[in-house]
Amino acid sequence: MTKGPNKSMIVRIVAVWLVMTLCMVGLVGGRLVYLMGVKSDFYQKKAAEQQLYDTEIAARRGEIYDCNGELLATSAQVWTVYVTPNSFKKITDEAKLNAVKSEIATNLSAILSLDYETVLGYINKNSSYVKVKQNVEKPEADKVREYIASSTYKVGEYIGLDESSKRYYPNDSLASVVLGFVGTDNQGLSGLELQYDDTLTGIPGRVVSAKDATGNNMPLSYEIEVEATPGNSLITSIDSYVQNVCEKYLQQAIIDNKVTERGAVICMNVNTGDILAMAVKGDFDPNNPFTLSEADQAVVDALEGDEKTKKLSELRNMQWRNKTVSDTYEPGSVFKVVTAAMALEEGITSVGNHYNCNGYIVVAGRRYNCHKREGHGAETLTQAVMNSCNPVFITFGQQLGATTFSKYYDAFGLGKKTGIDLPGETTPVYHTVDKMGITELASSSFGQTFNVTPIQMITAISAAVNGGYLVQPHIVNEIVDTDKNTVKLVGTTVKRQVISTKTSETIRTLMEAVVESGGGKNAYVPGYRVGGKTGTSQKVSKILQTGETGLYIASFCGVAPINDPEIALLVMLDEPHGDAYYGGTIAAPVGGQILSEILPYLGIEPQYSQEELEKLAVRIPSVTGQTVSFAKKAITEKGLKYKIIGDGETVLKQFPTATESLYSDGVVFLYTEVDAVAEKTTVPSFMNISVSDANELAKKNGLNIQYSGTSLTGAGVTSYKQSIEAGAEVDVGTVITVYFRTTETAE
Amino acid sequence: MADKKTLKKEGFFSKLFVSGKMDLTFLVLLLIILTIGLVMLFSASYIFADTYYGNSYYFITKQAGFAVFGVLMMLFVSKIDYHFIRKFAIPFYLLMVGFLVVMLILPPMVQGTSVKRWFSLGPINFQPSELAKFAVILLLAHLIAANQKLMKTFKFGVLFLGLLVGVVCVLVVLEPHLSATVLIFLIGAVMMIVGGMKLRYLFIGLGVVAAGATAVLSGLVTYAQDRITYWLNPWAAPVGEGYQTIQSLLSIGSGGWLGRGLGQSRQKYLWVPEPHNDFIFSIVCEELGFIGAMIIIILFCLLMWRGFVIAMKAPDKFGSMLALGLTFQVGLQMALNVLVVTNTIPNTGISLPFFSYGGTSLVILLLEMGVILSISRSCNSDKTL
Repeated sequence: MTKGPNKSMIVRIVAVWLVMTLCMVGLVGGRLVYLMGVKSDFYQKKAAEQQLYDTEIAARRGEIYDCNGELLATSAQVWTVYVTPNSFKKITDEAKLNAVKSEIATNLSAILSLDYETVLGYINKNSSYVKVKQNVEKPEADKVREYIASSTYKVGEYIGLDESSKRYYPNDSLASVVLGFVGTDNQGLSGLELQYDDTLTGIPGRVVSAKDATGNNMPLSYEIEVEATPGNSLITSIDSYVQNVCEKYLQQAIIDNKVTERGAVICMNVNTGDILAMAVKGDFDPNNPFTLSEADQAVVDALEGDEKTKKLSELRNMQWRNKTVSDTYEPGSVFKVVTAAMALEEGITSVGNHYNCNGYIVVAGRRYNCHKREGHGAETLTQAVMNSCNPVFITFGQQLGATTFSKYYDAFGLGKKTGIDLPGETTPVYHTVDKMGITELASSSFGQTFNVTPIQMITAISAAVNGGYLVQPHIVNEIVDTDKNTVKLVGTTVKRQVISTKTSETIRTLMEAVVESGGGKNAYVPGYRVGGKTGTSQKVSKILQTGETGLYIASFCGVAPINDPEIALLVMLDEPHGDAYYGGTIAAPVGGQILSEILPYLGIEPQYSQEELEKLAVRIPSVTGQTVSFAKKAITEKGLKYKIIGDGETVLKQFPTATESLYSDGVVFLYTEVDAVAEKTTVPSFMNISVSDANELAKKNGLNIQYSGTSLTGAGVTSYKQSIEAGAEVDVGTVITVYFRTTETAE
Repeated sequence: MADKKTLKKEGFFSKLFVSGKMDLTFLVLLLIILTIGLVMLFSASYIFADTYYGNSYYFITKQAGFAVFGVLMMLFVSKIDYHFIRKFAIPFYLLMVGFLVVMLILPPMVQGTSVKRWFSLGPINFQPSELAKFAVILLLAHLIAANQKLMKTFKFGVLFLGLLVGVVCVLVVLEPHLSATVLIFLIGAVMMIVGGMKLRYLFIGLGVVAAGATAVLSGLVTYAQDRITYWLNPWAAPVGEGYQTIQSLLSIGSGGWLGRGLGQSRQKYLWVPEPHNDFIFSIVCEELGFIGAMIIIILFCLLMWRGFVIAMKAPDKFGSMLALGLTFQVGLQMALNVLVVTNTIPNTGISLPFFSYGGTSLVILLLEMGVILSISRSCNSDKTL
């Protein structure tokens, strides 16, 4: 017997090896061929499903600028706070797990003003990524970061912040109906945001990243990133200053005249079609577009159930609605400018023509009254326009005939949408030539029985005064990329010439006469040549529908400088319920107020007449700290008066201060002693009195007076408003502004 | 006097140490496998280590230290005449049986588990079953070599030896440690077969095993049945019991023919639980692909072949049986691990030799390899016994 293994053992060893090798190479190898070859794609796909996360990166939304490069809409950095619930699997100790979860829930709910239970719910979800809160702003985001850094547990492994962006409108409600607003995912929902949504949005990027089982990113080498292309920006023709002025006076007019259906103002460059301002009041703050005004909210709160929901939605849609393009109205007498242009162009009338108004005209057996029942009597064309004499314009209409009238009507762009770059423009309603009978023609010639949008009306008036060219109104002038390189330039589009340059010139003289001494006197601006036309229209269809009475739209369309027009301005007040409702009485003053501020701003130099110069207010010189004798001389030189209080040598305090202006005869009070106490006076009522009476009253009460509105000359000019309430106790010398208007306006 | 003393001394050393050359092929294959194992351990473990220990090198530094120590120990053991350990065959076996019994009586030594398969000695945790395996191999090699003639009898060749193996199997399965039980049982069986057991008893034995297995499995019905359910369809519990298997399959499948490249596994990003332990082979597959995985399998087959050659060339039956048992143990563990990782057989906790993390286990393994090398030296020694 051998000492080593015998033959049988060797055979069996070899056999064992063969079995083992066969098992490993054959069985395992075969299994691996199946798993790694045949089923490889399946497993790779399954593995990718759990490892890869495809995240969209929103592109930075483009900005909206005004014509001077001021920001109207921008996107600011905000953060999304998230939790990665799967990462808690790392914690094996139950007590610690609960402690960490509760700490996170407590802190996040406190910082983000959320419910503790809500946050805990997110933490306990079976998911790798849950958003806790979106649109978290910097102060809160910083607090979250601080918490992450200071926590005793490494909470950074379970929660974090993702960058995103939120739309901001730095000027709050300014031009809100033009700008519109965006939804939660930054998609444009109205206004320019909607109209130019594709331009502003850009192209979102994406990141495909590999994550580990706890939801953390694998190293960068596994990431595929497609960068987002930021959206382009819009440079608009809107001028923030002009917009601001328009909104300010519109808002005031709405309050003063108890306007219930909102009001609108458009300011347009008549030659280029640039919209400098487009204001609707009763609008909203695009930063919080769903928030109603307090008054509207009160209406909603008073309701219950379905009615409440319905009303809420109705009022929201109302505040978002751009009245200037989405609402139509009967333009009334403002339209007479268009009728006059047709008649002049067709040679039916000329400046020298004479007419006679009996107070009415009969067309096709129907009697149309002039607004002045006793009639205007004999009048020239200019006077007919100044008087806004209905029978004269009805005559023009009849002489033109339906075909010619309609041809011009269409040529002025009133039959179609203007195509302005805003969403929601309404199609106008009017009598087409085949449906226009004699009576329809009669009422149409003075601006009734058809509907236009305010933007159509101002575009037509612009064509009437700018030499006869119908231009395309537009908001966006230029589209630029992030580096401010021009992507697209929007120039002026002239659609057609509607009337001759000569006719246009005649129209301008007629419109100037209206403001100088006709129905538009309240729009007079010292130092400037302003033309215009006023209008008052009854809301006939609403009256018929509701049975209410006294529903009017008061409007005014002004142009300045009328000798070389640049700016057209349309003011419209829908359903005033104050003491007056005539366009000339309530809309024209708004036009005058706006023009008096924006014309100097736009660089149009005033040219005062001698008479105007005398009435011009002067700047009070600064004399504080000067000797009394020097102060006396400086104030007298300006044509002002002074009153010295105390026996000192030096002026320690002056009132009013050097920032204010006074008319001649204004008194500056000079205090020369340290402990001098200002005298007090009670403000009297300045309502419904003439300019000279107001002046007297102010002097008597130790007040300095400022006049606002109209030429202050002419008959029927009375005050209707004062800047400081009657009965208020003020220092002597306080400047009070008294607003005047003429009540004799022709409609 | 002096001569006698010198002679005696020389005699002692010449008895304790062997002088022949060791089998270089076996050593080189072993070192190649060990090196690949360490590289793959590092690759598979650094994300896990970084996440849970804040140190990417946590596992590899420890394991590399044990590997260096283990290789030195192995080379030392290879110089020791393997007959030296034969004296301890019976006492060591009895000691291990006693140890396993004590383990069952003591409460679990590793916190958070109910199993008693771990023994803690200060910072060192090890599984007594590792040593029990060696005890069984040593005892069987000793008894088979000493009772060559009795091997053909049923009483000794099957019943007595079977009982010795069975006692250890029962003690280990009660821990419970099913995979170690299977390992010990199969090693014992193969040693008995090669040792001269009559083949007809083999078939009877297979019948007995089948019956016994049925009995054991029905006794541990919940323990095993769940495993079989999730083995057949791991997708039934994708976040529960099937999770580990699914993640392993995703990892292997993602490898494809050529693999993602060394270090490029994505599944090791905490998807595969404890990728440095039993499931390390799935990461190997993902990174090195089918080609890499097969090369490693073939390396193990070659190592096993070389170990068997040593067994066949061994100067005596004890050495032969010892080399066979130890070599077979490595091969069997490799095979079972890969079969588990590929979900070819139900999931049992079984590590991949030279790859999976575990310092004591690696050192014990390398000491055993040292014994094989010692036997190979004796093959090449002209010294007769």
